[in-house]
Amino acid sequence: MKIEELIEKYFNGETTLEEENFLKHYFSTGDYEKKFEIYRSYFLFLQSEKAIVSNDSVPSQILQKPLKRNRNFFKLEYKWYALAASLLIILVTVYYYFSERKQDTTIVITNENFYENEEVGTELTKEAFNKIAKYMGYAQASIDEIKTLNETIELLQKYKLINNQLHHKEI
Amino acid sequence: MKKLNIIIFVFVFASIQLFSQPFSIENVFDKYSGKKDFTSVNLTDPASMFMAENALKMSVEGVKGLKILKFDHKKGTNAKDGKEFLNDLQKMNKLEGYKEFLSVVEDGKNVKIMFKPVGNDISEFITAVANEADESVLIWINGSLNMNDLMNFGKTVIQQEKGSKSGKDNKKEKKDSE
Repeated sequence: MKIEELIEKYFNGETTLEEENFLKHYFSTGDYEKKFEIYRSYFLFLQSEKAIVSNDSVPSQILQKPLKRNRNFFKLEYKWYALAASLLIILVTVYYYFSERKQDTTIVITNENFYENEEVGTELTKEAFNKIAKYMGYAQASIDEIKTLNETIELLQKYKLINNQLHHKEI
Repeated sequence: MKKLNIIIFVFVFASIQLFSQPFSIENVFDKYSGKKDFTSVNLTDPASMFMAENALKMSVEGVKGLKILKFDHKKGTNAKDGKEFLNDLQKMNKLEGYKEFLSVVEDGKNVKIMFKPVGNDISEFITAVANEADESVLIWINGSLNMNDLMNFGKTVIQQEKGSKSGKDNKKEKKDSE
């Protein structure tokens, strides 16, 4: 194949690696046709770039683990974090919901739902009647005390009257 | 401008007066029943409900309606309504048409007993126990009640309480002497 055709093939992107290497080598030797002078600097540049070797050592871990795998690994990690956070939120919500329900003792008992809450309803009514009875009992006891006090005063007054009468007689 | 201000003021004042609920026993029950930490009982013909409890059935014989409202202050989860309820209980003697029978302050409890008389009998009976440290209770009974029966019933309950207390004390003394 002629050099001219090979160069055209190269710029059409149809050359093989071997053909590309051949072109680089061809221009680096100095034994080339002068009509291809304009391509020489380009192929020399490619040849010189090929020769550059990095002195920086690449960590072996990076070489061992492809980047693609790393990205997947992080994606997977985020998924687990999201799942754990969601579970935590659900657990906390459920806990507070039930603890709130436990604390909230709002009960409304009517004739319609009495037998569903019979124990609470009966207990509360008993408590209520005991309270009424207790304070009514106090009232009755106070009235009894007043009655006794009145009777005592009456007795004292009678005694005072008799005593006065006796005293007058003596005089 | 002044006239307009007066009209607005009169209108607002009249609206407040019109929509504000008067202080009545029904309104107190309606206000707190179903609110957080309130336990309420609202029964018509309660004697028919307490079939299994003979003593209680006897106590409510002749009672047409029974309403109980209880609030537990110790929980402290609805302090705002608890405080309002406490204030309302202490205002019970301002209820129209009711006579105050008893007003006692005992161990931090403010107790008020009110009744609505019809002839020699009582048609409505209210007991309000306001106790900020423990629980506040409002009891409303409607029906034909006899004051003497209630008093005698009360006396027996107190005697029973005293009896059980002295029994407990005797047991304690016996244990201590042993």
